[in-house]
Parts: sequence; structure tokens; C-alpha cells
Amino acid sequence: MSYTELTVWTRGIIMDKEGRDIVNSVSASARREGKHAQAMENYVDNPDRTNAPTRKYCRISDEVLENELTYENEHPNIVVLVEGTMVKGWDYMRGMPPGGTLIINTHYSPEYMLRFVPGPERLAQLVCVDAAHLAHHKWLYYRLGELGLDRLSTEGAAERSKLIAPDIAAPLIAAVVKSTGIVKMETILPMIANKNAFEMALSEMKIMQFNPVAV
Amino acid sequence: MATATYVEEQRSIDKTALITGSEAIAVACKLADVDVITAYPIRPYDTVMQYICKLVANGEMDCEYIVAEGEHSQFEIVKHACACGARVFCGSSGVGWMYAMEALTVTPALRIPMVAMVGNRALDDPGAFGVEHNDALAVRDLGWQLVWVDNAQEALDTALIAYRVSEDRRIFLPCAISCDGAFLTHSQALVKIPSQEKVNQFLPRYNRADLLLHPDNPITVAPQGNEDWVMEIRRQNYAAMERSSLVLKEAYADFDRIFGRSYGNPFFEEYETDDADIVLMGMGTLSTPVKVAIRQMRKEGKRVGFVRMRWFRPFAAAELAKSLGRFQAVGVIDRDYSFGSPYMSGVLTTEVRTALYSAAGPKPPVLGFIAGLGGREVTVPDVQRVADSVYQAADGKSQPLTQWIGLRE
Repeated sequence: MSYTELTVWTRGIIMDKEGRDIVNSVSASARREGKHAQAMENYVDNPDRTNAPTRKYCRISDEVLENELTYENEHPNIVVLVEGTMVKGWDYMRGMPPGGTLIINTHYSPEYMLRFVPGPERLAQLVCVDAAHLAHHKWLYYRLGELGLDRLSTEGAAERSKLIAPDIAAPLIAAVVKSTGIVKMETILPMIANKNAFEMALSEMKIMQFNPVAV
Repeated sequence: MATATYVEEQRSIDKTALITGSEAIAVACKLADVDVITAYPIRPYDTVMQYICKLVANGEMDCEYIVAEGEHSQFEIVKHACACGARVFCGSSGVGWMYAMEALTVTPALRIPMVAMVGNRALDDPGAFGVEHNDALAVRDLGWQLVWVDNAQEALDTALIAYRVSEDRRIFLPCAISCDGAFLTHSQALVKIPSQEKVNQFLPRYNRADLLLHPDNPITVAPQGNEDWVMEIRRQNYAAMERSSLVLKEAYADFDRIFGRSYGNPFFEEYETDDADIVLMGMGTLSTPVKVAIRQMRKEGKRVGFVRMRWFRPFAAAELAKSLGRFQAVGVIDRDYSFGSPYMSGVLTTEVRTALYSAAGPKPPVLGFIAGLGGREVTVPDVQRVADSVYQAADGKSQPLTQWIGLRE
């Protein structure tokens, strides 16, 4: 039986949709491929607060998900940090079984970021993708502190909420799919709004491979 | 925090959508063409008000949407609107529901067919966001029809049935649909959304007729009755609740005919009971871990079944007693508490014992279990421990009448 948990760590309000888009699109793709999948938000994070760490979960299995009412992903095989500075401060590696994948949105290299990762010996690969740059997300890239102010306005929110992965989620989804093969590229690509950033990430993401671990 | 929805067109005019339990209730409100909706945020019910708000903002739904200044006003506003002939929807959770208690008391007393959603949440203190059933159960004696659903499809379907039954002139009582906080309100499932034509066929327009509060129909609502008339009015409520079982059966039969989806017995769902030695009972999403555990136990040769109580008010006592009489022992898992009750059991356990006591047939022993309080997960090993104890009782070995399961030592 194949069973995979994907946990996305993001920041409340300002990057909430990005995190949600990742788990929703991966889960929907898995369902289209005939697997059992669910996507959900961390219940106690809601309602989220600006910049506070929040989690989104996705579970994919060949068989019926018998743990669908379990609140949290207890053993994430794949962890995504939607915002690079989240690499410090909390234990997003907790429960990860050996052979896991960590994906970070950052312009730094995996070799540099590795020093901040708690429990890196569990990793099979560390992936860094400069998602904000690839998606031309000027606020997130240059002035993180002002992002909250930017999102206090609802201008453009309706248009944005209709699209799946219009900006930084697209390169991060590309990194998840390419580095782990969790779903097929051809299933997920039609859902993604920012196809340009998605495709650029496929060639520009940086993967650091470790000794493969027998699972 | 709204969840993106992927709607897939199907060949038929019905649609399938991946939505949460809360979204399913919102969609039912849209299909029922509700006239007045009041809202006041409290988790987990707030997801329903968000989804309805979104439907209104997107022009998909036309209703009067009022954000009240608290739960008491929230329930009062729809109560009055309903007396004036509007189809209404309201909802709350946990302590929010309790804050509306005075309004909740007068709503059935005034024969107002309000439909409400209770996103079940533990009552404070200490604060908890997770599920407990004590909030909705607080109105169990007042004339509210109470139903617990365990999946998003059932949430949508039951909301339509609730309008049909509540607004039936023979009933005119409110109905609260309980959805377990987090487990149902916040988890997605594929839901068949029926076409508007079918819903219109199933659900007639709300008609108060001579009871309509309107300048052209001057009547008095909520007068002082005292010892003169209160007792007769209570007796009318009693009669309405008595008729509710019959009207519910009619509605479920019509639902099956029009939508092609049958729920079998409207009042409770039976799972793997045909050859069962013992059965477990419970309400709401408890069914998920229990069904998983039953599948595992059956592989080990233990013939365990499950009876999920759907309608708590009206309580189908005779039918339930007849069904439970087939088994050697019954274990009732309560996601609630009733301190000081007979044998210190949970609310459902006491009701099941009462139903069995007066029945003519066999009376298997009934053990009570309290589990999953404050939103704690009821695990598969928890359910297996419950089944072990019920098996002991079936063998005639003495067992405590109330046990707490999954409790930290």
C-alpha cells in the first residue's frame, strides 16, 4: 500500500491561499488519477492571523483513508515551507519518516539552507526553489514586512481567489511534483494558473540529494 | 480560509462537487431558496456563514443576509422573519448556541419552523474548538427536532428534508442539524448536488396560511397564557412532535423517489448488523473510526455491528428497541456527558436504556461509554476496547455501566 502525507507550512492571511492551493491541487490531481486523497487545513489554525504559522495537509493513498478524521499529519513524507524564513523556529520535521523531502521557497542554495533544518538525517532530498522570483511576486521577494499591509485591501481578491496558483504556489507545486512524483505532471498542470512560473521552476529548482534510505 | 471548490459537470443535470460539510449546508440553503439568513461568527459554524456570504456576493443566491450583534439577536431575527412567512436559516456552535438559549426556547413554543445548523463544539470551560454534543443536546426537551449527520452528502440531503418536515403544517417545529466540528464541518467529500428542478419538486413553498403575521392578517403572537392556556399549548407541541415521525417517514420516501437516494430507516443507520452478536451505537462522525474498527474485528471473527442514531428528536424508541433486541449486548458511545444522570451515563445511553426498558421484547444489557470529549479523536483501538467490554457483558460478566474511553491516566 502506498500512503503519502504532504504538509505545507505557510503564513496566515498573507500566504494562506498559496498553502491551500498546493494541498488542494495535489489532492484533486490524485483523485483524478484514481487514488484516495484529502486536503484540509489545520483546524486549530483557523481563523488564521496575519503572518502566524499555519499548516495545510494532504493525504494520498491507494486504499480508503481510514485516518481521515485525524487532525494532523503525524508522519509527513513531504514538507513545504511557503516562506523561506520559516526554516528557523519550529519543528516542521517532526514525525517525518526516513526518506523525506523538504521544499523551501528561497533564493538560497540547499547547501546553505541545510544548516537550519532540524533533523536533516531524515531527508532524502532538500529542494530550494526561488518561487517568489519566478512568479514575479515583488512584495514577497523584496519587502516581506509590507505584504500584510498589501493584503489588508481586498482589491483584486475576488479575481485572485478564482484562480488556482496564480503566483508563488505554482513554482512550489512544480517542485513538489518534480522532486517526489506524488502525482503526474500532466494531471496537475491544467489546473495551474501561472503555467510560466510552474515551467520555469522545473528547470531552475535546486535539488540536493542525500544517500537514499531504504523505506 | 474558504476552501477552493472543484465542480465537475456530469452528464446528468445533477452536479458533483468536492465540498466540506459546511459548504454542503450552504448549498442546501441556496437550493431551498432561503429568504432570510442571520449570521454571527463562532467556530466551526462560521464556515457555513462564510460560504453563504460568498454565494450571495457572487450573485448565486438571493436572500436577506443579516450579520447580527450576537447569537441571541441572530436567532430572534429569524424567528420573527419566519413568523412573517420567510423561509429562514440560522446556526451556531457551542457557547454561541447557549448564548441564544432564550430565543431557542421560544422558537419551538411559537411553532416556528426554523432550520438551524449546529456545528457541534465543546462548551467552555476550558475552551475547546473540537466536537462534543452537549451544545445541541441542551435543547432536547424543548420541541426542537434534532438530527446528527455523519457526512457532507447527508448534511445537504438532511437540510432539504428538515425544511420539508419543519414547514409541514402538521409540524411547524424547528429543526437543528448537528454537524461534528472539524470532522464534518471542515473536511471535504464528493457530494452530489441535485438540480433545482428536483429540489422544487421535493420542497413546497413555505406557507403559514392563517398563522401568517401580517397587517392583513392581524393575529397575536407570543401572548401571556399563564395557567389558563399554557398547558393546552404545550399539549399541541407534544402532538406536533408525535406527528413528526410520520412526516419524516413520508419525506424520506419522497426524497428517495425524487432524488434516487435512499437512507433506509430514516431514524437510525445500521452497519453490519445482520449477523452481529453485539452492536455499538453512537451519533455523528464517530461512525468513521467505528466502521474501520468493525472491519478489522470482523477479520478476527468478531461479529460486531454498529447502529448510528440519526434522529435524536423524535426518538424512534419502539423501532430501536425492536432492532436492539436482536443482539446479545449493546455498547453506546456518547460524545457528551450528563453528570449525575442515572448510572452517570451519557445522554444517548440513558435514552437507549429508556427505550429498551418499556419494550416488550428481549432487553440486552446496555453499557455506556464516554469518549471523544473536547474534540479528542476516538481511535480504532478505543473502539476495540469498547467492543471487548460489550462482549464481556454479552457473556454475562459484570461490567461497569459507564466507562470513560481514551482517558489519560
